[in-house]
Order: sequence, then structure tokens, then C-alpha cells
Amino acid sequence: MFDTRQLAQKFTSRITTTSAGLLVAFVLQLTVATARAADQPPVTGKVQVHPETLRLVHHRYDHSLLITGRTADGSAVDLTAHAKLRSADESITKIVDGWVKPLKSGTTKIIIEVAGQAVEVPVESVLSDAEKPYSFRHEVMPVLSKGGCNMGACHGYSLGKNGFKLSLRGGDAKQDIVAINADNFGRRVNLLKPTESLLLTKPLGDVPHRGGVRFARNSELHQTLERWVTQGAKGDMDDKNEVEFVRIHPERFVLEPGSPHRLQLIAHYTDGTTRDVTRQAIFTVNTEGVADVNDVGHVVAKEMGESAIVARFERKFAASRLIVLKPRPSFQPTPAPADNFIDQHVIAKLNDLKITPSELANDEDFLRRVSLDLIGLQPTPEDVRKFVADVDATKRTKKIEELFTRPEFVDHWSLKWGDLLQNSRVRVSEPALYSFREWIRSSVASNQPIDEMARELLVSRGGQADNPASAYYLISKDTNETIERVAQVFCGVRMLCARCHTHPLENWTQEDYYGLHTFFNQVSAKNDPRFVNVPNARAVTLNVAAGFSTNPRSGQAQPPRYLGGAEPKLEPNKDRRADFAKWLTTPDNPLFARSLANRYWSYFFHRGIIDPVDDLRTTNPPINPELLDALTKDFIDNKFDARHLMRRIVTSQTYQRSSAPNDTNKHDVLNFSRAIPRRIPAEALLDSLVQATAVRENFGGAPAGFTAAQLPDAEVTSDFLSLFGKPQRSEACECERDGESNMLQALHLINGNSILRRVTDGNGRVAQLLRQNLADEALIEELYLWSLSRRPTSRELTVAQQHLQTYGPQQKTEAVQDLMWSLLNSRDFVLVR
Amino acid sequence: MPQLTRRNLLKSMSLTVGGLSVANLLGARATANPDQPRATSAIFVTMGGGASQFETFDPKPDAPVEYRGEFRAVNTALPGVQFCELLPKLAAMADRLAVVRSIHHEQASHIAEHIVETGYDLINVANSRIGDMPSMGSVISRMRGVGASGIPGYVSIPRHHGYSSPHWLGAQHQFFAVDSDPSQEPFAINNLALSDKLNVDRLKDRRGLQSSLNQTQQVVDRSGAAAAIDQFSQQAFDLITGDRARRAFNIQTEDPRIRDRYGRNTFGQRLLLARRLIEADVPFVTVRMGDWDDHDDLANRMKQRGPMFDTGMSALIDDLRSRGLERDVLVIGMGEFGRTPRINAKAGRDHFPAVNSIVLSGGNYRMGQVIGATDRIAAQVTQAPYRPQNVLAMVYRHLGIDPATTFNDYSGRPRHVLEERKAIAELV
Repeated sequence: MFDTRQLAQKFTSRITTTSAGLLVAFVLQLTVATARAADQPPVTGKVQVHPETLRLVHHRYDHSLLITGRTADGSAVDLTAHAKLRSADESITKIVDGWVKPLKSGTTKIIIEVAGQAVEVPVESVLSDAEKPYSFRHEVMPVLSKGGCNMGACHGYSLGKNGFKLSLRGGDAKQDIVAINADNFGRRVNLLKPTESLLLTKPLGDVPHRGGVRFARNSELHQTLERWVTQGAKGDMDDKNEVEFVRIHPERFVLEPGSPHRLQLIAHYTDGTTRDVTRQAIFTVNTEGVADVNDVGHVVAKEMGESAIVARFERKFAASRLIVLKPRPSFQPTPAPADNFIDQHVIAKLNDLKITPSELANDEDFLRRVSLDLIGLQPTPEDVRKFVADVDATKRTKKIEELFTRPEFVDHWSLKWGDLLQNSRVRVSEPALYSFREWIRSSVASNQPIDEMARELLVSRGGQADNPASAYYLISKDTNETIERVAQVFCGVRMLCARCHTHPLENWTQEDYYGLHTFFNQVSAKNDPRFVNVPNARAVTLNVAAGFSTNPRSGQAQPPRYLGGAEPKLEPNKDRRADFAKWLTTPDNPLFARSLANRYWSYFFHRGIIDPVDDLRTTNPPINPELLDALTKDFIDNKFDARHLMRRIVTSQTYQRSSAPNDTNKHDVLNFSRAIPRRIPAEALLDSLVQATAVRENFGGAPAGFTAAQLPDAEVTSDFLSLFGKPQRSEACECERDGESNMLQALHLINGNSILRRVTDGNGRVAQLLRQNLADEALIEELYLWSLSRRPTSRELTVAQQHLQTYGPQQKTEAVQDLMWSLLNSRDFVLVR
Repeated sequence: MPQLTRRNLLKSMSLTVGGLSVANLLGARATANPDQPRATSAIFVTMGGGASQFETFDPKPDAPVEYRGEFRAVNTALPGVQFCELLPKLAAMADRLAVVRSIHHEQASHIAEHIVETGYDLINVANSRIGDMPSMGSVISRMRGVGASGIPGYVSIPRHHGYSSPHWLGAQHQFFAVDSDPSQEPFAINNLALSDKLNVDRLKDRRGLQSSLNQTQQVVDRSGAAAAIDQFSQQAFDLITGDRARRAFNIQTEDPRIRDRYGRNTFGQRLLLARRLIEADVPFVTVRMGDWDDHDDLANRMKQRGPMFDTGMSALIDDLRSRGLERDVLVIGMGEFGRTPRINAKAGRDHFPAVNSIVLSGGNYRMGQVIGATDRIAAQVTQAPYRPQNVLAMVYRHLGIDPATTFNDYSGRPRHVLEERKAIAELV
């Protein structure tokens, strides 16, 4: 049921082992590549055929054979179009357009000749005596999806289109058969004159259709619909056979730019049969520009890069991972360090990609990066000087441990959790805001294991006087919001879609949504009578007698259901949240540790291993599944210790790499082969600016003396913070924090008061340094260290000295102000580099 | 290395600055749509608090005094159409206006501004401060981008806190606020007019120094974060030191007679500034005239505000025509709701979402008409009912933006620019 996880596990087997298993099907094992046709690309090694054997169970379920080879460089070569296919017994199967069509029951084989090799595929055909009638669920519904009829922009829209409403993307066959048959006085489906049914004439374009022509006359889509109508347009709701999952082949492959390759999608049914649904499936490329895919799964590689190619059939999804790569014969694989699993998995992938990672960053860059990432503040000149001068070989590790003990560490990570848990006085009373803030801060300060923190939050009740964590529930306006927040923050799953219809990008249904709902519907928030004079003072109460939530689709009570399908039998009159919390935080929960490990990773890099970090689904596969699996396992093995997880990440070479690219990785922005500079988050940028200039910021709406990282919520007046994307905490999504740059920010930095006022302040850094009467060189170094946490290069020193001399002693103040202004306005200040 | 004098530095700076204008890595996001056939724009005047329909465009002279209030109705340039006597100048140009008397919705609290700002009802009351959906101005900024003057595509005069958030469209589509009062001297814009501490020459010096230093920084970044920062920094610098934007904001250079016509008050001069900005390629300017929330002492308050509104709006509409801009610029005057038919005990009127009158002018729409009607005490819409969303649809339409366009929200769900987007047929 856990598509996401299954997929991840499948990815852990590397290509080589998978292909070894295919060899049994080959009778001839020729190793020499010979080009049979002029345009057939050269391949080395054995030709592979998927599947190795065929079992055909339905007169209309033809099957394709995917025939592939490899270049000497390891790129995939699709030989299907070059192969000659022959059926050994043409009374049992015949070849039609390269597909195997069953004719009657029996056993035979398909003989494939390609690239000077011959392969045989044994075939078993087990057909019913008479051809089965057309199935609404298995044949017509996929046509409605493939034709786009049930898309959100068309009849899948919540109000339908032009009086005809289908369930979004075919989520509800029962609803659809009623819609097709019962409406419109028999015009939509005309059993007397089937070809005049609107169901056919509209999508064919025979009569005006606002959705345009959806399929061609005599196409398979057309024929399926027409024959189904001719046979009486019956629903087959009693048929219990369901698609259990779909598999895509190949699951990962490498292509050279311009090369074609086809995909094959096989549906596996609950009755154990399989069906080639490649022609019924819908294919999309996740990253535009890397490749194109057409409606029958033919891929053409375009530019160098990586992308998932997603296939959907009915409600099931599968993703194939494509890498587009040019041959690089001179590439030398990087040896992976034996003692660090992060580096091992990152380098294994980079070697596959023929990428050499960048060198390690120098001490100054490392120190600034790790300080900003762990404590949300630049290092001071003293920090930089001491660190650079330290000759201890383990000084980076020592520094990391030291940063864990800094008070700013608590500020920085409490801010993150405050964002994730959406603590805000818009949602809760002001005393509850501050007490929840303290609760979060003590959890971070004591390094409370994250599973324990989650459990405390999820079973909290009462008001701020009883349990500050109860604010977690008070923040939600209703149970819907609670479960969406729980799923997004603790499972990395976005459930909102499934509130009203099946999720368009993953197999989440309203059963899943309301199954979660039932776990939390005993909660309500009532006014807290102990705080009559406090606006919005409320407390969480629990009605353990509450029944199950109603699934609006079926109108039935939905028993509690974990994300992923299991429906536990719970004792009545108990707090159902406790059971959910236990399920959530068990080590084998596939979503909790995985989503959190991925989320923490993203705080130290420019992206998650899965990105967006809170959008885990089959159709959004991780960029490096082995890395995420290992990181997840390590997080679980170490009992959800967040500091341990951070330590793992920041002590890796992968984290400590320079941002300077080399020839092999300058195009790579996905695989952590170098540091990708990121814009510093709003609060850390402002706090670093305050530290650099020694001029504080006073926020309206927060106690005096609070730093930006310490602010209780976003209800403070600060142009700076809102321009730089501080989230309002109105969403449980990481994406609410805007990490982009924009012109208004630049305008603010160049000409706004944040920098201008600070460099000219009579008690600010510039004034302080001038009072020390330093020589120009020393003065410049101080300015660089305070502003950018590094010393100037010799060229920078020269430019800066020229600048000071040009102004002369009379205008020294002005010149130094200008210099600091310039440094704080440079990209080196704004970026984590 | 050659001797760097201050002047040399300036020279080398200007070269470097030029050199920074590398390929626009920001793509379509930061540039205007080249397919845009006409440089259309809109000035949206928000009548914050909710203006009374009786005291503006839908007087009821025949209703009992406790309904009609103390003001008379006056004839307009349109036969059979009357406005409140507080708006004589607009009445005289009614053939160049379209008044919609049948705007209505169901939200009686000021959160109804969410409908006017975004075209959506506020669903999540927990978002009552920033709203659920991106504001119309942010959508326009996203779709129309930054014009040649470099001024952002959405200017808010003054800054408006309610529901003006860009949400998932990104902080770069936040409004550019002009808080200061253009009727005061000296008039300077936040972050734009150079403060007295920093004149243009000194800023150019700083920029030159910064560019020289930037050249030595080693960050080479293909992902675009550093390139984007350079690009935006260049845009900001051009905006501050460039002529077009500064000229647009330099309202002091406007002919004093034109300034007089708009009214020498905050609202009038803000409207004039809006006209100058749309002339500098800004596609969308909001001018907020707050304080229409007349729960008490309505008549006296209207006597202050009505003439200011009348003078400013009529001057704007005239001015646009004399400049040949009336087809290209759509002017809208609209509050979040109308007001209760019966005068209350405090001589005021309360919130009333069932009826609202709004005014449009220009935009190549059909002018000289009244659309919709209300009953004899303006308590119910009786003809051609429309919602604020339909007005927004006409704004988007004028700006060449298809309101059926979708943007994915934070959850990845595609959201239409307007879910309810039916046009006001009478205007076309």
C-alpha cells in the first residue's frame, strides 16, 4: 500500500543486479555488437527483453515486449523498433504492430532477433471461451482518464462542465456510471443508436464540444467507448478485481541527449494477473527540458539532467528515473570514504553520473556556513580568527559541538519548529503563544527526541495552564486543519486534496482522509473559563464518546485508518489520538522518520533529497533513494535524535564542499556535488546585520531586546522580515517561507534604512572602529570580518585601500561608511556560500 | 593595477555596472509579456470601509427621510439618472462613466475587503489578517511584470495591510508602497527618493566600490541565486538613479493648474501620482481612500469626503481623456460593501453587503450607462445582479489577463485567478 516506500525500496537494488536476473530468458548469448540495420545504435553485451515470460489472460489485452541493450558507456539503447518478432505458433499468438496478441489458449513462444542475437520469450495464453464484454471499470474508465475527460479543467471540475460531471481523475466509478447513464434523456448514451451517443460524438468533434476533439475516429479509445455502448453501457461494479499496483520499466535508465527510449507500464491486479497498460496510461515528465514523453510512453532525451517520468493508470502511479548524460570516457570515479554513509551514497550517485565533486570549502567559508545553518548567525571576527588559527585536525568537529551549546542554537531551531507548528497570536491567545514558545524552546534545548515531542503534542489537552503543548490543537480552526497539519509536518504528506476528492498525484482517497479525521474528531476547543479577561483563551477538551467521522463520498462512518490503509480495531471511549501517535512514531512507520530526515537535510542544503520536502509521493521520487534510506535508518537507530542527525549531515564532506564548481559538476544542481549558495533566511540575515553593525532592531509587537530569531511569531512590524520572506505561519508548508530574492529586497538593502541607518549610526560598528584609530589595512580587515566573516583577498584589500585614500582623512568617516555599505550590499553577505 | 582615483573608480564602475547586465536568468518572471498588444493599465480606487450607495451613485430621493438621508439627488449627463448632490462633477460626466448599482455579496464584516482585493470569499477565518488568496495586484504583477521604468508592477498608494499578500506568487509580487503624502512638501518615496543622507553621486560612488569589490568575489553559481541577486540589485540601482522612475514620482514638476484640479489634498494628489505612474508603464496602481465606514455622523463626514472624491475622480477621468489615455486606462471606484438603508440612531449607516454601487470609467468599455438597479430603499438588488468578482474579471480582462489562468497554491492545488469570472456583459 505504501507506494512511496515500495518504490524507494525497489530503487535500492541497483541496475546491475536487476539485469542479472533477466539472463535466464536468453538462449543465445552473443557478446559482440553488430549493427543489423543502418540506423541501429551499437550495443555491447546481451540484449534484454522485458518481460522474460508472458502470461496472457484476455482477448483484448495485448502485450508489448521491451527490447533493450547498452552502449559501451552504459547508456540504454531501445532496440524494440529494430527487432524482428515472430510467433512460434500463429494460431495462439500473433504479432500486431510489434505487440503480442493472444488468439486462443495454449503455449508458444515469441522469437526475437536483434543485434545479431536471438531471444525467446515463452508465452502462456489462458483465454476465456468467448471474448469478454467490455468492462466499464477496467476499459472505459481508463479511456475517460486518457482522453482527459475527467481532468480538473474539464468534467472532473467540482461542478462538472456543461451539465456533465465525472469524478476527478476517475476516483469514483460508481458516480461516473450514474452520471453517464442517468442524465440527459438518453442522449449521452443512446442505446438505440450507439454511434449517436454524445459520449462519442462530443469527444470525436462530430458535434460542438468546448473541450475540443479528444480522440481520433477509430482510435483504440474511440473503439473501446463505442463497443461498450453497443454492448449496453453496463457498469461492472460487482467485479472485485482491482489494480493493486503498477510497475514501470525501466525503473531507472541513462540516455544520451537525443536518444529515444520507450517505457512499459504493467498493471498488477488483485487476482494475480498482469496487463500491459502502456497505451492506456498517462505519462508526464517532472522536469521540463530534460526529456519529452508522448502519450504511449516514448521518451526522447533532450538536455543533460535528471527527471522522474511519471506514469498513471487508473489511481496508481509509478515513476521511472531518467538521467541524460553525454559519454565522458576519461572520467575517473571518486573513491568514497569508508566511514561516512552520506558521502558513500552521494559519491556512488556522482560516479554513476560521471561527476567529480568539488573540493572542501576553506575554513572561513565552512565556519560561516555551519554557523548560519546551526545557529542562524554569522561568526564574529574573533570566532573566525580563533578557528582559522586552530591547528587541531578535528577542529571542524569541535566547532560543530560548540555550536550545539550556543543559546542561538535554541533560538534558531525553536524558530523553525515555531514555523512548522504555526505558533501565532492570530491563532491562539497571547499567553498561550508565549507558553507554547517556551515549550518548544525547552524541547529544543533538552534535545528531546522528535518522536517523543510528536507524541506529547498529539495527545495534549487542557489549556496553557495545564499543558502549553495544547496550543498545537488550538492553532487549528477545525479537525480538517489538524489532520492536514499532522500529515504534512509529521508525514510529509499533503492530504488537503483528499478532503474533497481523490488526490491527483498519489493514491490518497477520502477513505484515507476521513480515516485520519476519525483519530482526531474527539478534540474540541472551548473557552477557558479560568482566563476570562484574556482574549481568545481556550482549552482543548476531549469527547471520547464521539463517533467516527463521516466520509462525504459514501455518507458512511469511516473507521480510523492509518495513512496507508490499515484500520485498527480500537477500544471504545478511549483517546484515539494516543493510538495514532503510537503508530506515527513506531520505528517502522515509513513516513515519519523519512520525512523528518529529509526535512532536516533540506535545512543544510539548497533542497531536500525529496523536494519539496513536505510532498512525499510516488510521483516525486528522491534524487538519491539510497542516501535517504540510509539517513532515515540512522535517524531511527539513534532514537530520533535531531542533533545526531544534524551532526551526521554537517560532519560529512558532502556538506563541507566548496561552492566553486569544476568542469564535471558545473551543471549539477541536484546531486550535492558542490555547495549551492542559498539566500540567508530573513531572521538570520537581519540578526547577522545587527551583529555586523552593532545597531539593534526594535520590533513593534515583541518584547524589547528580542532578536529576529527569538520573535514569538510573525505578528511584528518589520518591513525587512516580510520582504525577505518570513512566513506568516498560516500554512503548515515549508514553502510559505519565501527564500527567493527580489528587486524590492535589493531596493531595501541599497536605499532603505536597514543598512543606511546602521552604517551611519554614531554608536555603530563604523563609529566604534574609527575611534580605535586603526591603520587602513587593519580597519579594512575588521570591516570584512564583521560584514562577511572573512578576511579580504589581497585584491580586495587594494581596492579598499585605494578607496580610503581617494577620500582622504577629512572624509574618512564617509569613506568607511561607504565601504561597509558596499560589503553589506554584496552577494557574499546575502548568501550562505 | 592602474591608480584608482575617485573619478576613475566612478568610470570603472559604470563599465562594471554595464557588464553586470548579463542574460536575464530570471526569465519571463521578471519581464513584461511581449504578446501584450496594448499597454493597458488600471487605477483601482478603494473606498475603504464601504461607501454608502445613497450618498454616492444610487440616491433614493423618493424614499422616506429616514432612508434617503439629508442630501438631494441631482440630475446627471444621462437622462433619468441621478447621483447624490455631493458628486456634481461626476454627475456632469456621467456619460463617461459606467455605474453598477447591483454589486452584492453576503459578507457583512470588513473581511469583505478580501473579496474586493482577491476575488474570493475569505474561507479560513484564521487568515483574517493576510487572507487566503493572492491579491489582484500581485496577480497582475506576476502576469504583467515590470515595465521599462523599472517600477514594480503593483504600486499601492498608500500601503494597504488587508489582503494584499502575494502568497504563493512570491514576495517579489508584493506591492511597492508609496506611504508618504504627495500633497505635502517635500514629497519623497520610501526606498526610492534618495534620502538627504545619500545623494545620487554618493550612491553611484558606493555602487562603483561595491561593483569593484564584487568582481573579486569568487562565487560562481549556476543555480542562479547569486546571479539573481546581482540582477535585482542592478534593477534596484537603476530604479533609484534612473530618470524615468524619479521623474514619475516627482509630482512637483506637474503643472500647478493640473495639481489644483485634482484637489490639493492627500487623495487628489495620490490620484495624480497614480496617473503619473501608469504613464511610467506601471500596470496596476491602487489608491486607497479609507474612512468611508460611517457608522455615525454620516452626513457631516460625507460633506468632507464627498467633494474630495468627486473632485479627484472627475479630474483623473478628464485628465486621462485629455492625454488620450481613456481607452488604455480603466479607473474603478469601489468599496467592500454598501450601507444600511435606514439611518441608525447615531445618524450613521451600518455595513450592508446586499447592495453596493461602484463606478468605472474608460478601459474601452461601454460608458454612459447604469447597470443594475435596487428597490425603492436600496435594500435589494432588483436587476442585473453582479458580485465584486465580476468587477475584478473586467479589470483582468482589460489588462489582457485570462482570469481562468491557474497558479498552484502552497499545497500544489491549481487555483484560478478568479473562480467566479463571468464578465459584466453590459460593459462589453
